[in-house]
Amino acid sequence: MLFHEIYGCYYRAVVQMLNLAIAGGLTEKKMYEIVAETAFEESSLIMIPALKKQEWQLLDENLHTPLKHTPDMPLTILEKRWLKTILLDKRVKLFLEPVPENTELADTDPLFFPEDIVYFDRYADGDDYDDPAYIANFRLIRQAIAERRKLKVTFLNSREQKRCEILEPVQLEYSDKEDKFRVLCADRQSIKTVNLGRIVQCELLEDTFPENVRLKDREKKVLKFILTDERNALERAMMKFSHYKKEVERRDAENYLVTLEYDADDETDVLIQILSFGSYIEVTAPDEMREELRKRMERQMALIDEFATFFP
Amino acid sequence: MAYSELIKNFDNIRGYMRDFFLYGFKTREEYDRKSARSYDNERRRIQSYLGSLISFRQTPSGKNAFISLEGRSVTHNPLYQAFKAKSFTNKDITLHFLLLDILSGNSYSLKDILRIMDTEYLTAFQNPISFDESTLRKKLKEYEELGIVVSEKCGKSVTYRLSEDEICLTEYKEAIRFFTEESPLGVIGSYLEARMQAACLPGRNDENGKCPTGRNDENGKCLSDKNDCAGEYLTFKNHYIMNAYDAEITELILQGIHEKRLLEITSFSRGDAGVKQQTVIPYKLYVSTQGGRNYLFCMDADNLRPYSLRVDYIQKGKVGEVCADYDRLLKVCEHAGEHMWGVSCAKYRRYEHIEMDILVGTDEAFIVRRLEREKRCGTVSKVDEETYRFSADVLDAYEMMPWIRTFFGRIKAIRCDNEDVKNQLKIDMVKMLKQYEDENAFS
Repeated sequence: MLFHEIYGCYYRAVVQMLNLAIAGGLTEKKMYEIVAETAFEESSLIMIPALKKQEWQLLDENLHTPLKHTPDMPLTILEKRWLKTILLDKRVKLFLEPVPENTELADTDPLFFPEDIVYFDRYADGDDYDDPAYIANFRLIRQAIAERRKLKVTFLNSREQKRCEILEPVQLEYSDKEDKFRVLCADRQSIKTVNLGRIVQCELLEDTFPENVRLKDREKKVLKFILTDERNALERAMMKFSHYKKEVERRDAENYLVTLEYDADDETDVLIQILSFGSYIEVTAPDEMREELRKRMERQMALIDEFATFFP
Repeated sequence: MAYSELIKNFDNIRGYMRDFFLYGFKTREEYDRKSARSYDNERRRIQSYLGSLISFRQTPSGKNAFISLEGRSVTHNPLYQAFKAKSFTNKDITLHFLLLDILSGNSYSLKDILRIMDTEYLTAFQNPISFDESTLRKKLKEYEELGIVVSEKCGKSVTYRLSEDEICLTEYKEAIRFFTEESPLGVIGSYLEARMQAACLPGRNDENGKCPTGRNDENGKCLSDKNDCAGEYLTFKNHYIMNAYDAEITELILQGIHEKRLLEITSFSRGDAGVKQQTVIPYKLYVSTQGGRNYLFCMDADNLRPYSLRVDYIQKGKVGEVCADYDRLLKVCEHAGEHMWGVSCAKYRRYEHIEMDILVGTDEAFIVRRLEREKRCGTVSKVDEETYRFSADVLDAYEMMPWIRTFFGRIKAIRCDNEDVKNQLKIDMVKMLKQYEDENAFS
C-alpha cells in the first residue's frame, strides 16, 4: 500500500520529537521547529495540541516520553521491493560500487522488471551504461564534483573531432528524453556542457577549485504563443510544456495565451517542440522565433512545387 | 465536515493537483467536481503541502490558483509531499510508536503487549487510551502485511516481533536519489530519503553537533533541508514530475503486469463520454519522455483486442485473478508494439505505409543523426546526395503528425496510405505560412 500514514510527515516529525524527548532535550520551541522542518505549513496547528493534550499518548505534560528506545521502524516490504527494483536497472551501476550482492534482498521480489516499462518516444542513442569506461568516467566525475577537483577531459565534439579541456565540474544532469548524462561545468561566460557518452578520456587532477565556484545562471527567454484548442491541443501542450515555468490565460472558448520561460540555450529544441503542434500554435514572441518559423515555412513551401507532386 | 490538512484517500486531490499544475486558468467557480467548499479545502491543502510553489492570479473572471515551476531547477519532486498526508486516528499514531518501542529487540504475545502498554506506557498519561485486543490484533495484522512485524507460532500461542532489517540505506543513498526522480514509483524512494533525512535533523547530530552526513554549512547548520539543493550534484532535464500524482494507479498497473493478473479498471474519457469499466490484461506501462503522458498498453479481456489507456484517465482499479495463458495472449500486443509510433493500435490488423523524403545539405549530418535517433520504427536510407528517406509500416500514421511537422522546411515529399495525414499537412502548411507571413501583425 503506497499511501499509508507510516510514510507520512506527521509520523516523521513525531520520530524527531521522540528522539529529543528520549535524550531529554525536547522543548516546545523545538517541537515547533521540527514540525516546520518536517511537516506542512499548517501542521503545527494540529500536531502540537494533539501531543500536548495527550490525544496522542507519546509525551507527558513535561514533554517526557515513556518510550525507551529511539523509534526505528524496519523497512516495509514495499520499500524493500522498490530497492530490489532499482538494483535491476542498468543505471544503478553508476551509483553503487560494487552493486551489493543482494544478500539482504535476495528473497525480495521486485515491484516490476525494467522490461515492464516501455519509454516509447525516448531517443535511440542513449548512453551505454554497460560500458566499463563510461561507468569509470561517471564515478571519476562524481568524485571530482565532491572534492571540487579539476578534470582533464578529452571528448569528441559535434564534428567528431577530439578536444581536450580542463574542466571544473559542478553537476551531472540527466535527460529522460535523451537517456544521457551531461557534466555541467563552471565557466567564465556560461555553463560548459560535455556529454558523458562523448568522453574519450578523463583524468582527475590534483588542482582544486574554490567552494564558491558555481554554475552561471542560465539566460532565460520568454515565449508567448496563442494556442487553438482543437484535437485536444490544449491538453497535449500543457502536458508537453509542463516542465517549463508557465502561465495560461483563456482568451475565448477556443484560444489560450500561453507565456513560458525557457533557457536561451534550448531555443532550437523549443522551436522543434512548437513546430510539432503545427498550426494549433502561433508564436507571438520572441521575434526571432517567429522569424525562424517564417523562414522554415517559406523553405517548406519552396520545396513544394505543387501539392500533387509533393504528395504523390 | 471540518477542514483537515490530512486526507483519507488521494482521489480528490489528485484531480485538483493535475488542474493546478497543468492548466491553472480555471477559477473557483469553474471547478464543478463537488462544491465551492470542496475546492477551498483542496486548494488550502495543496497550498499547505507545496507552500510557495502555488501561485494565484487575479483575472476578470476570478482568481486562478496554479502551480508553476521550472523542471530543470527541481531536483526533488515536490508533488511527492502530498503522499505524506495520509490521515490517521489518535489510536493509530499512539499504537504505532508504542508497538515499535515494546517490540524493539523483544518478542511478545498479544496479551503481553496489551499488559506492557497498560502498565509501562499508558500510566504516564492522565486519561490513558484503552486499547482492546481486537484493535491491537488488527494493527498487528496490518503491520505484518506491511512487513514491519513478524508473527511466530509457539505451540498454541502467537508471538510478535519487529521484522529483521539489515539493509544499510546510506549504501544506497545516491542510487535512491537518482531513482526517486526517475522511477515511475519514485515516491517510494522519497519515503526512503525521508528516513535518511531523519538522521540529519535535530537530535541526531554527533557529539560535536555535526550532521552525520557531513552536510553542514560553516555554522554547523545541516544542509539537508527538504527544499535545499545545496550539495546536490544530480539535476534533471526534460523531467516530467506530474505523473507522481498517478503513483497509486501506476503501482496497480505494474503489479498487474508483474503478477500477470487481470485488472479491473474504471476510467473516464475525454469529453462527455463518462466513466467506463473494463477488465483488461495488462501488457506494459508506456511512458512518454517527450509528452509527459503515460499509458497502460493492454488487451481487452473480453474481445482480446489490444488498446491503450491513459494512466491519468484511470480513476481506480483493482487486481483480479491471474490470467491463464498470459504470455500467449499478449503476443498480439508484442507484435502490435513493433509497429506503433505512439500508443494507438486500434487498427491493429492493418499497417499504413509512410515514406518521408528529407532534404539534408552537405555538412548537415546532424539531420541524419536526428532521423536515426528519433525514428521509433521503420528505416532511414540515403536516396541521393541530398535526400534521406524515412519509411515505415505503422498502425496509425496520423500519430506521426507531430514528428513530421518538426521537419517543416526540409520535407521534399511524403507518401502515405492515410489520407488524413496528407490533408492535415496541407492545412498546417497553408495556415502556418499565413500565421508567420505578416511580420507587422504583432508589432
